[in-house]
Amino acid sequence: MPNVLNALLASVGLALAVTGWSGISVGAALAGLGVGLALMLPGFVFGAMGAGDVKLFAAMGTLVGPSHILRAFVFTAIAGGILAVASRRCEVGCNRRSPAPARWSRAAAPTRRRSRRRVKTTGFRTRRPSPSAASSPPSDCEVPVKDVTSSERPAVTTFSRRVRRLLSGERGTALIETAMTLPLLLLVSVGIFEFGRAFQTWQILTNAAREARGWR
Amino acid sequence: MPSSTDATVKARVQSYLTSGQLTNTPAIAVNPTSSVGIGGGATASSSLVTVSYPFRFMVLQPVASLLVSGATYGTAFTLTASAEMRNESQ
Repeated sequence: MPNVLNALLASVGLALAVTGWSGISVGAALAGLGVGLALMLPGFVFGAMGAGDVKLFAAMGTLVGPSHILRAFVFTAIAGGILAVASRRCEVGCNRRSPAPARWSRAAAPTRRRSRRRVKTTGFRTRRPSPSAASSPPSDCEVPVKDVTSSERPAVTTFSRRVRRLLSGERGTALIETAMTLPLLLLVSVGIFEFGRAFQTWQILTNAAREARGWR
Repeated sequence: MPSSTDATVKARVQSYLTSGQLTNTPAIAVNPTSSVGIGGGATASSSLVTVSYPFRFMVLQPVASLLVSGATYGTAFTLTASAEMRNESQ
């Protein structure tokens, strides 16, 4: 979750509180931010959730205030617990179904492990001297390339790379789209349920009136 | 029907609603002297039973009040149903 979005959400919450549109005072919005932060920080400290979750929850606190953010925390915890249990059960089921690890031979296992090792790229072209090149003197046509380490990276370049990645990167797009469309989908689903219930109630009333009319 | 009173009708409505899992208190009105058109401009005596029931959305109203504090969208409203039947000659 980008910090920009969290900051924007918190700003919107505070702005709505200042204008009175959210129905809560500025103090309540700030209290909501503090309560949201305090509720989620222990989870972050113990590694149960990421920093983005904490910041998002704190930003949400400015929109709904301290009492509602507390309620949201309870519901979130319940939903998260259900999801965790479901995920664990699925994981156990998948492991039972796939016999792939048992088929591995001992000889093949180290090869697989080696191939799975992640190679971290820095984005800077570095050329390490080969053992033969290190022993032999450099020729005239060879341009020496400086080995740039992360500590020597210019701060401006890093910042511009981050900004560029923020603007052009599409990681998390699906999450944002889901976050935007899910409330609408839920509203439609709940609306179908609610109006169906209302229609059923009205049918019961009509039947009751007809039934009782026969008794008069 | 002979020996039937308004209280009997109301009790029957209440019983029907209870069996339909509607536990709120309905408003029941019985009008035994209503009139109904029977065609050709003629009317006949009839009985009209009107049942009004307060209905409240379970989810929409709390969501609306969560989004806009003090919102009255989706608050309880009254569903009304009525049935009319021509009176039998006694």
